Amino acid sequence: MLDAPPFLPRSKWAAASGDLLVAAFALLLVVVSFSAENPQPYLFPRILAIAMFSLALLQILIVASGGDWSVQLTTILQEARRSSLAILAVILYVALCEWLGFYTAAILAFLSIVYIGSNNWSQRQFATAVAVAAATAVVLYVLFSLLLRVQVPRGWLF
Amino acid sequence: MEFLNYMGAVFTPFNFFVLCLGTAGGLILGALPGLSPTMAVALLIPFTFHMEPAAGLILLGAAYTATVAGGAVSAILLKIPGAPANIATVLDGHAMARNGQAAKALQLCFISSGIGGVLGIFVLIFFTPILAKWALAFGPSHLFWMAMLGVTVIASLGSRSAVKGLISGCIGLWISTIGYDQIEGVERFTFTEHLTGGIHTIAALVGLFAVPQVLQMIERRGGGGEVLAMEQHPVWQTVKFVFGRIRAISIGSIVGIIVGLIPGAGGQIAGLVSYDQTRKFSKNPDNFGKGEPDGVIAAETANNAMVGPSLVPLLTLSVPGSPTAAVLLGGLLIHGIFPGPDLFIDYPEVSWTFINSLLIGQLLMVVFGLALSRLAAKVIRLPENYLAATVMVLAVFGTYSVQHSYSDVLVMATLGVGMYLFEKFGYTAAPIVLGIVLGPIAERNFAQGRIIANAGDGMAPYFLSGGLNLTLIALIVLSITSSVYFEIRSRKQKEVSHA
Repeated sequence: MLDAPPFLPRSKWAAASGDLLVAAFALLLVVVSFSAENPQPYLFPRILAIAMFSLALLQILIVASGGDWSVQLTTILQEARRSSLAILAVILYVALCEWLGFYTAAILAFLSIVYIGSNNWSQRQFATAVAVAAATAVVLYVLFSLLLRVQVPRGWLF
Repeated sequence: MEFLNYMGAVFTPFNFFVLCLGTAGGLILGALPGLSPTMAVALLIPFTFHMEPAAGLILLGAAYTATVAGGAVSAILLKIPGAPANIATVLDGHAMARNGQAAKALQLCFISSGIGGVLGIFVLIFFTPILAKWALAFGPSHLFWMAMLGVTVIASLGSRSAVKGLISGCIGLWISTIGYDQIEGVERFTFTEHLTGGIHTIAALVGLFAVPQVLQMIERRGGGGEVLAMEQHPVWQTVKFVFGRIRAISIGSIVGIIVGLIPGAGGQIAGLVSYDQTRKFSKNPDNFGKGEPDGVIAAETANNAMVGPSLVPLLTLSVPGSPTAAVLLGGLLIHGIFPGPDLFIDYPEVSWTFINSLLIGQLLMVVFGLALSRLAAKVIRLPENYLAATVMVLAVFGTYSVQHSYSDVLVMATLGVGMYLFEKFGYTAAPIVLGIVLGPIAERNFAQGRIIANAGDGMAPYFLSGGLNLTLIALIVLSITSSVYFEIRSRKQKEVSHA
């Protein structure tokens, strides 16, 4: 048998935390689909929501009975912490790209992601990253604005 | 031999240029560790939106084929499979590279991939019209069960946990219902103005496949391995060598074709089964794992031989055989081409041009692949953080370009970040994508079936009776129960090894 962690009950729920979220979300969908004025268009999504809820409950039962220990909340939190800056960069990029302008935002996002993803950061690497980011923006401009004729938002910069 | 009538369309200047571009680009993308074929194809879909359907599909098909073959480069030189389909290639390919035969191993890969790929495409050419004629008898209830089979097969066989795969499939099907209902035009689940038009397939595909990979690449922080040196090896010697290994090529091709026809089985199964069978039939089984060329030939022949057959259920029944095929289905749908029994009646030119381009693409893949094998060591040295940044900005521009909609960009990023976190809990993107792509087909046929059923004997007799309905339901049950069985068996094996 796989060794159960010493803090058994707590970690069981931790392992099932994602499934609990899914179950809660599916329940919300079931409630929304039943509370609609016109029930006909909600029949198909309601069946799906009920299936999703039942499967999430089944998955929680599997975890609770010790069947699936593949998910460890502590590992997830450690990994998420490592990529939290990158997640923030993606969110900021998408949130600000319309306001800043797609090309300016692309250069800033490129630099941020390269910086976050690098193990060490020297002045020379910074210069390389700036040059590559600017070159990428030029390629994007040629590809989208000139070739595909897509008018992307320019924002207050470019 | 209807396909020959449309062969000329592949060689129009623009289509041929797109084919070369897709093949060369696919090989490079596949060679880069961290970029999966599915993500590469998903990222290309926005560009095809601006092309004629045939040219768009040629680009996607070429990229699909070439990324699978390109994945062998990092498998051999870095011991990191570029795609799951290249797992078996690592076993002997990397050992050959360690023994100073990296160039020979790469040449073996591309030549055997080409042989397997061409044989697989011939299966696609000859099987597809036969299956399409048979599928003409399908009514709404059958098409509904077909769509459900597509979701359950990928959900149960393509995920580590069958239950989590099925939950992901349900989530994908539910996401497809966001926006206006197809029958009554009622708005559903539009919690914000950005969701009023529903979730565009491209935004979902790019978000679910590209953004999680960007975040994973950053999470790894460029933990690439040592790149092995390349020796000089004449190509003609490798060609002669490959054609002398008939047993490995035959096993690879047969296994690849059979596995490819089974929806959801995937290239990694083809590669591993073929490798295993070739080892069993080999006169030198002890050499396998130590740099045996037959191991590389068998694995690469199989994983490319499955590409063509994996498109047979997609083109005839709308059931993708692999996650990448699911993305291709999305690519077909955005061009207004609905795969199914009528495909070769309604769109013969586009369909045959696409299939022919896959055949020519296999030959180009060998040529470009052999050229790439000289530069491979340089290509795979690209730092992952630069790749991640490039993929992210391309994802934003590509998604925006489809409908000129900032809402699509927001949806793409939200789904992507959400999927990255969701993957941490053991859920996978492929069933969600399949649900999103097949959801409208399932719901439309469910609604049509309901109308027919209400005019007749009712829902249960219409959906749950008849040989074809029962066969499809049995296949759904079989795919779920078999994956649950294998999951329990592997868990028990793990428990025994831990004890």
